[in-house]
Amino acid sequence: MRGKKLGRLLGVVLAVAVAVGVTGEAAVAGAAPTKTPPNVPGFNGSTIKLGVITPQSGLASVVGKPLTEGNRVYWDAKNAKGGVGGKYKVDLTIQDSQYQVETALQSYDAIKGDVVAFNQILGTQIVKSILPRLKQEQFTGAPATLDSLWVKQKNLIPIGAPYQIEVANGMDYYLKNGGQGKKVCAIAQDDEYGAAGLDGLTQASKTLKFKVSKTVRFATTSDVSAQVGELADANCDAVVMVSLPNDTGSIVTKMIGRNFTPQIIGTGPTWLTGFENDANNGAFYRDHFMLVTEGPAWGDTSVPGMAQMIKDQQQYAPDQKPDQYFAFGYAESWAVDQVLEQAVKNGDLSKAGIQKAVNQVSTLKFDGLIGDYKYGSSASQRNPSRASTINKIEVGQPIGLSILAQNLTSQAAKNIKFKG
Amino acid sequence: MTKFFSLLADGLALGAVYALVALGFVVIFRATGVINFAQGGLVVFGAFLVYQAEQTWGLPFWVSALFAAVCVAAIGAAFEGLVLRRMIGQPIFAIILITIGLFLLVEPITTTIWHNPPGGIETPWGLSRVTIGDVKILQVNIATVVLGAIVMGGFFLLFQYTKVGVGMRATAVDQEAALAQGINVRRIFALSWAIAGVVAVVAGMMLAGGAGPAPGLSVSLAVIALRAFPAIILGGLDSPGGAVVGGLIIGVAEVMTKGYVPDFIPALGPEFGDIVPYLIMLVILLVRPFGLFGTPEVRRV
Amino acid sequence: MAGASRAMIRNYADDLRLFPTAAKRVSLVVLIALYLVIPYLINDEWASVLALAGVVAIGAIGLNLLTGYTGQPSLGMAAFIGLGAFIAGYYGGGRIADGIGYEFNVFVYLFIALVAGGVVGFVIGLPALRLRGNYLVIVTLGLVFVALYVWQKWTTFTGGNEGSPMPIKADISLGFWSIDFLKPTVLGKDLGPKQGLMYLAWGFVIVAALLVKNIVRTRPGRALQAVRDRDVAAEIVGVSLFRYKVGAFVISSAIATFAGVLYGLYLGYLTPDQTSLGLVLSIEFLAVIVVGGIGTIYGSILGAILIGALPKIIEQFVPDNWNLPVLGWPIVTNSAGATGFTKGALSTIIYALLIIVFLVFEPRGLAGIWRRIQAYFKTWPFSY
Repeated sequence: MRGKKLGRLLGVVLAVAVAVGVTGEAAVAGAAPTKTPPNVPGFNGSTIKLGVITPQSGLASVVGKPLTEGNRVYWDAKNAKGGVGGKYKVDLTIQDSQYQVETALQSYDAIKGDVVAFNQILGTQIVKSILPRLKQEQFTGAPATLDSLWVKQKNLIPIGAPYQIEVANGMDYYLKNGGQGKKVCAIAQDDEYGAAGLDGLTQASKTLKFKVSKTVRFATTSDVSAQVGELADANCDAVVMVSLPNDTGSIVTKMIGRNFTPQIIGTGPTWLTGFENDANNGAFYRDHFMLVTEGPAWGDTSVPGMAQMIKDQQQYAPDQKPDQYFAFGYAESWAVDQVLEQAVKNGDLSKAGIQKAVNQVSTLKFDGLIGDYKYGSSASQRNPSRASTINKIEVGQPIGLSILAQNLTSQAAKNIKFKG
Repeated sequence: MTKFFSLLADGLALGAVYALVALGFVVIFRATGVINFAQGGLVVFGAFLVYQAEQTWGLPFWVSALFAAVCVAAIGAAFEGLVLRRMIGQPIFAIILITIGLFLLVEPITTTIWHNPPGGIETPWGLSRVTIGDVKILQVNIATVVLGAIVMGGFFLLFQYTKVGVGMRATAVDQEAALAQGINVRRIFALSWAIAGVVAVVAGMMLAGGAGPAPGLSVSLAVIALRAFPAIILGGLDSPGGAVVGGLIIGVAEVMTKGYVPDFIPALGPEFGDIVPYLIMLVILLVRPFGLFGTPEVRRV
Repeated sequence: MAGASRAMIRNYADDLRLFPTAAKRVSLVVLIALYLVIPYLINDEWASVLALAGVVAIGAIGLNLLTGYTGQPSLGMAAFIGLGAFIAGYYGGGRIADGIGYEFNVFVYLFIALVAGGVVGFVIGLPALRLRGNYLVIVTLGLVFVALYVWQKWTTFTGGNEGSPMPIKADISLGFWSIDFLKPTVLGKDLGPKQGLMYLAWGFVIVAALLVKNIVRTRPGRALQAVRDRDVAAEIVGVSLFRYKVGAFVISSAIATFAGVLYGLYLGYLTPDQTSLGLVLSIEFLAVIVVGGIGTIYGSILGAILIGALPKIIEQFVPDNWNLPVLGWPIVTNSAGATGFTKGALSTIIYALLIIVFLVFEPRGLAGIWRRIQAYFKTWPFSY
């Protein structure tokens, strides 16, 4: 009996407390919008927590680790300047996805209650599977993948030119620099990422009027000798490659083994710093590989965005080698920062508040580090940058890349349409 | 025909690697009656040790290979002495599981030490080719077959003509009788593991150096090594000669399938080649459960 | 019949009883109470751990029947788990958004899995009749890779390399009562999906445990153990090898496929690749029955809880960065490219060492340890 009474009493006290809390919040929301945002899961009044779902182990960690490092360096620099809105520090909660959809979903469930948004979700397939949950729970996340499926999703904060743009610009450059009339083929990973690259190729083939002779797909980290054999038997002159670094290595090894030396046009994620010096494949990369990326060369401090990143990197990650994934990660945090600044200005760091802020940023600016991204007032108005950088491989350059054409915006890229 | 011969060259190189891994299985099985699942792990570890010596310390290729061989042989012998020796008399299944435990240790340890490096092992042959008629063959493939033949030849000489070899054969036939004859069975056990370690290093460094259908230097080499299991089933668990023949057959069958499936039955997909070794194994087991050259177990009810 | 109400088992008849002692009957009631209460109170993170442990326990109980009681070691678990999970994706409405598959209620696709698993188990069991020990291990190893290939190619069923989303609801409606195990409401409180899965999984742990316990304590169980200990002798005394070996395969595979459905619900998404459905998954189930104790059912359950919770325990109790005292060697790290083990690597290493240590020093597993503790207290003060 005593226990019951005590329980009832406790219930009353709690109810009162909750009521007070609610009225307190209402009071804040009603006041001037620049007031302190009320505490929400992931924000305790002084620190904003952001989730990161990324491969820290396994073969894709060669992408995930530098990318996350870029995320961190941006926030370290920002925190040193006071943080978001000049006073709120940002802290990353990092979960290892192993580049596995299953693990990533578990990671998402594990941290969704502790963060206000996701600063990085890596992997096209992974973002695709997490997206329904983001929608359902009104969450916002930044995908570390350049798929065009994200362009019109209000729960995502995409940056960069999608893979479709990369392939279109790459093909445009190839055809205008000696590739006219050559036999074009493609090798692509058998998932959403590969499909995005191939979609770009199909769309570009209509604008640029060329034919794709042969397309092969492969499962990640499998033996690719048969696929390479098919391309070699088809006598392709150019091969559009949509893969991750580990598979790039095995594909190129197989090509060399067959004495098959087409011109490769690779999307951004095919490359890994250090490939240019590879004992077996280095020469092939230098002679036959063309990589499509975005933004200026690493260390080109004439571009303000790059100068800022290099300064922060030297201070907060002095051991970091030049790496394009690091730069992407840095830009990604920068994008999330612009959204958070808006949300803090609105005085609302709740999930709905961040969703609202996304529609108010109008254009995400990166001072030239990557192309600016028009966001407009709703997701349907978004328009990504259509510019790419075409690189060749050269030893001694940072990241092993030397620029052939910067800010290339081809008609083929302008014509790319995004689904959704 | 050009395609056929270049596939044959690829297949023989892969077969030589399978044969080496299979030989490692057979040596241990004959001495101790254990199927060593960790063999694939030793292959990976061997490849990474060669990488360490060659790419990080800048040692010449052959010195690096020697260094890795000594290390992995020592690891094998130590594992036998420290762990497996305590398991004598336990069910086969328990002993297999212990070697699986060792296998599981390899992946986290190699990734922790080496972080999936982008480069590979630099062999003296690189990726250069020789041309015979119309057929271009990777030198590293030829080297793998030759090196495999030398290592296996050395093993057979040891096995047939030395005192240790006689001891190994005697132990394989009857442990207790061998012990009674004054053969140091424990040393034979350790030696078998050491030999398995050495052949694993040779297989690993050739795979990581670009021979056969390899993903380069990567922990997934272990999966390739697992495909040597069908080789020993084909050849017979206790027959070293069978391991070599089985390895070559499986290697050639796998590469040929991968080469011709896209031409004739594209719906099967190139991955079909990966499971061909297992399919061959299933057929063999249904027809001759003790393999082509294995000792039949007589069991009648 | 002598009533076996006292604390000790004194004769064979007592030993055969399902719940031989009063203590066991009391503990059964306590366990059922815990089953009902724990998911209601637990937080999301630990619910996730225990839901997975329950799923693994079901599979392990099935494997134990085959490996522990019948002596047929199998590395094929991953194939059956995959089958079950893809059945969930296809028949449970996981891919209905893409216009593929069906949207049955949870017990329907669990039943489909049970039947499909049994049929496949029968087919696998036939060749296994001719094989023993080492050979059987290698054949079942091959099964894992062949199954992976089939999943990758059978795109209508599995989604191919892209994989298959799993059902987002696991509901059952009986008119007067309905529940969605992925979004359950218990006594007016909304629980998370992992808590709901705990109810579903642990409910079936109890069912599977009783089923297998009843098989092994009766005539078929003695026959199975005779097959394990000496199959030739078993055949001579009239045990049909065909019937019992194949039967063990059928039941064990059906249970494994059943567990696969729940595994799919737990994961939420499944891709047919080495990491998700490869050899390591099969090894995990073997590890569970070894660490728990081969040939005991509660051992399988204890093993599943320990192995299932291991990554979480490490996540929770190992610091993010930890250097060896005095020497200062970095042992644990969470930063990119730094020296030291990540927690993921550490958990694999500890798990591998657990397998080795248990096999070498405690072959009877956690169950053996537990039995020794019990014996100590039961015979007190005459313990030694």
